[in-house]
Amino acid sequence: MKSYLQLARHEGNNTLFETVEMAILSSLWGVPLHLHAEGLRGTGKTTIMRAARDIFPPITRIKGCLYNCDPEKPHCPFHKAMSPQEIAEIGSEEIPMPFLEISHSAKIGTIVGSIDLAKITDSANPTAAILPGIIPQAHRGVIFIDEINRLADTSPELTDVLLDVMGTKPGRVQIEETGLPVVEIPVQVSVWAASNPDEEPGPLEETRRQLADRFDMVIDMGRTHDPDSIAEILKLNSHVRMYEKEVSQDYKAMHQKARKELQNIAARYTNLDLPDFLRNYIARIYVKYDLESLRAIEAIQHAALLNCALKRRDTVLVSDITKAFPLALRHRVDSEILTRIMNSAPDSSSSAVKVTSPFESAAPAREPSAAAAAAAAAAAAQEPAPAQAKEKSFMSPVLSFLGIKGEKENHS
Amino acid sequence: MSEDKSASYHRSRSKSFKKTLQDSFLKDEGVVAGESSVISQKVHVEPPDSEGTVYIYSARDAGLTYLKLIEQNLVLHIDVFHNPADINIFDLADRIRFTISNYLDLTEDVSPEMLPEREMLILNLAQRIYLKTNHGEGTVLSPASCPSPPGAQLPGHVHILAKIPDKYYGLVYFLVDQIEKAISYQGYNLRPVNKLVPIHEQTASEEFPLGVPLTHNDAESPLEVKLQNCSQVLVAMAEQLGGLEIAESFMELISPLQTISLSRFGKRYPCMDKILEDLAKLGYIKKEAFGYSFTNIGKELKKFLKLHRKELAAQIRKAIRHIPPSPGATPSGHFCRVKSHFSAFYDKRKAVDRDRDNWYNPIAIPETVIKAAKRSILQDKTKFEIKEQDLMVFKKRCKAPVDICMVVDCSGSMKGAKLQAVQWVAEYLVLTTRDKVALVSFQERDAHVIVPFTKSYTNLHHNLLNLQPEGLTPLAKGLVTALDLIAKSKPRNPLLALITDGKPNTPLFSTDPVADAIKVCTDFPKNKIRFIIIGIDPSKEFIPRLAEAGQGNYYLVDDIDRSNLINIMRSERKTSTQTKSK
Repeated sequence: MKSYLQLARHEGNNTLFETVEMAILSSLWGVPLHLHAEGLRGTGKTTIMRAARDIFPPITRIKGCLYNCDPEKPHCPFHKAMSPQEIAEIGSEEIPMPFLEISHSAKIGTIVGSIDLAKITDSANPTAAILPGIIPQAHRGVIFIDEINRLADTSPELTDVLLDVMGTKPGRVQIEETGLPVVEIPVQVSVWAASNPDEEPGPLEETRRQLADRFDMVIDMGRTHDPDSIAEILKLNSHVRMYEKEVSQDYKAMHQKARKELQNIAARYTNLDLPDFLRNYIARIYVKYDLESLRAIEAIQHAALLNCALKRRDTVLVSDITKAFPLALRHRVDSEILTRIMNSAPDSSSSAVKVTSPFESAAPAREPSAAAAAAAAAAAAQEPAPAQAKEKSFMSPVLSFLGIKGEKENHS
Repeated sequence: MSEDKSASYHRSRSKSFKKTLQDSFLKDEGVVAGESSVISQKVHVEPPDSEGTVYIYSARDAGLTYLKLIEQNLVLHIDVFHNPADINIFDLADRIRFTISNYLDLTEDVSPEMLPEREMLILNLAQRIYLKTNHGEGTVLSPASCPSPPGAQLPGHVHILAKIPDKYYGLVYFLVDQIEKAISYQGYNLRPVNKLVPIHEQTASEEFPLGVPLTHNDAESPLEVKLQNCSQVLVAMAEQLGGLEIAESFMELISPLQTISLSRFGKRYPCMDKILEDLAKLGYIKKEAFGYSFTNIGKELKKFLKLHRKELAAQIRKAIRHIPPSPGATPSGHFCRVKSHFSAFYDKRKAVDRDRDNWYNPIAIPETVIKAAKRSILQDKTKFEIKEQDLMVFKKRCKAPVDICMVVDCSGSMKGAKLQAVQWVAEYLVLTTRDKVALVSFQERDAHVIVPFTKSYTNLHHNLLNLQPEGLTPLAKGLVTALDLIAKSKPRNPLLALITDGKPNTPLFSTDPVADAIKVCTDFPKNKIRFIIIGIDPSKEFIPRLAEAGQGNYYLVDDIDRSNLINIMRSERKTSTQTKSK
């Protein structure tokens, strides 16, 4: 089994790694973040997203509650009306943040919820109760949907449910079953999806525009042209490693460390906010380029904050917003307008804060992301040799974009 | 209402109408007046499949397009929509002349000695208003009857171009009223216009070289921005040249050593000079004594193309799939295709009895239960049971595929934007539908099957790169080749679309090229080939005759461009599918 920190990072997939970490951080803040990875066949979209659960921090829920009720603010039909004492009596438990998948054979009942057949056929005490489906069960966690453009095409009913879940934050689902009262449940679920826009039936923006807009960020997966990273990917996929049942102890420790790190960051930056001039800048872009959905600029603001927190900076910079533009706008505007927006960064002289781009100076100036840092530290402690290779692959995205790396090598 | 009151009412109405017109013209918009009239200074058309909606092309000036004027915003374009009919033009002209004199009576006080001047003014205004109906065309002063050829589709509107000074815009108020009255008086129905949809065609690329703002090349700009700019430049280049492969070979030629090959390339692709200019503006290349050469960032651009060829190709395919603004547009101007595979195969609203032909269709549960319940009651059964005879299944939806053979004029006049629009539509159809597409081109003295019927995008794209517009127009030969192709490859439900911008001038059998083409067309109906013509034909004599011979539809367009082609092809595909599945 491949673990999250084992996966090779390169310039093509680095953005996805970063956004996945952003989404986990966002969940810790209590805000779901919907991601959609688009890219060519076999670029590792699904692998990375599935592996991300390795570094999911735990959540606390009321003991045995299928709806993942937070003991402090219970929301499910059973615990909603209970007093704090009663809940304390039931007790609480720590579970890993849920990661559930919606497959293409899913039925509406398994997704939303249906009548609990086990309980109704229980001859001792037959009761008509509702069994929550995947969405309510993934509360405070993540739902993953592979090939979402095909799902939007083949099961419009499921897509409609998703529209409701992702439309607001938190979203909602309504479980309806003949003969039972309607149950409406708020759900705070991040929806992660992957698709190849080049495959039938085409990009999600064309097949189901509303659903495409519900995704806060779309990540364009790239490939790498760095033989080292490719060799590393190959090494991971050789049959020797593929069937290793357990993740090695070292990696388990590293995952633990990364989890802790993410929790620390979440706690430290809860009150991080955007400076006014940046907020105005985003607002002006909304007006000037006639953007349609307010979700777009909300996503830009949120992504910039998350990016800043992951870099452990106390002030949000213009570069955080520049980074958020392609993620939040690629699926919402034409590429030509996106180009113009990206080139419209406010003048550094007019801004209150000095604008520094992490890319303009030497590469080491750039802080690696939280999980990456933890991993690098842990790897350095245990395995010196691979750690170096790893560190190189963290830095290489910066260099090898545009082939700068190649040139540097030539010079030396 | 007394005479005076009515006059002052109309005077104020006409004044406020003039104001409305001027206001909306400033915003490049049009106005819906009366019941079924549209007034603007732009080109506006009614798309073939959506009645009551009119598209207004805000980037195309009516004077420039219809009258070949140089200066913009001089001409009012008025269309009064009615059910297809033969409107008498002499009657209209008479009424308009009368309206002009009434209008002047109402708005200008004329002393008796000024009467001759006023007569001159009336004649002058009448001379400036040009009218066109099915029955004839001409200025109000000298209308002429020139009936369209028999069998042609009757036009659904009276087309008026008025080159009048804006001082007299109030006249339009009376004009529209009078024409609507005239149409009703002649016994035809008006067709109300509900909605004006502005169509913004791409103008952005003209503002910025290759769509990238000039500020882009600070060495300081972040990496994301640089990457975005690179891909924008390359995609824009590929779109203008007609393919990423061409853009790549073009970039290979940018070097002082290749100046001669570059100029040869420029002859094939007229847009090259503009691209070179843009690249230089953006600082990717610089001009030196012996020709152009890449700057440092230019070299990065070249490298970017090498490394990201696959991603860029995918991006271009995505852009082709992107549906242009079209009927039923949502406010943002995008048309959402919400179709599902399931309902494409089974009609969930129609259940039928299950029998030997459809036993494998999905079972319609509620309908089955209802049927069983009915039977139980009728047969006085106490127990409810479902027997095999009760089973109902969903009906399969017949969906006849349409195989499209495009026969394209590749003579010299099609060079540039027109041919690119054709290529784009072919690629669009392959990417977004399940149809097969073939393309036959005719030029000089011969015709070639450029693409045989195919569903493969790569196949189509590579073959389309071979199109080289030049030479004469051997239309008959093209049609014969297409007919052969259809006979050989036995497509399903074939639709033959002829796209041309001129008269044929190379004969095949005899000495008359037009007669030859018509002769070929007469074979289409008996071969069960649906035939349409999309073309530019200012004389309007040859395309209608051709369509009549082939018993097909024809569309006379002002320009062969993407939105025209795609709208027509889409509505034709729809009718093809429907007629077949009936």
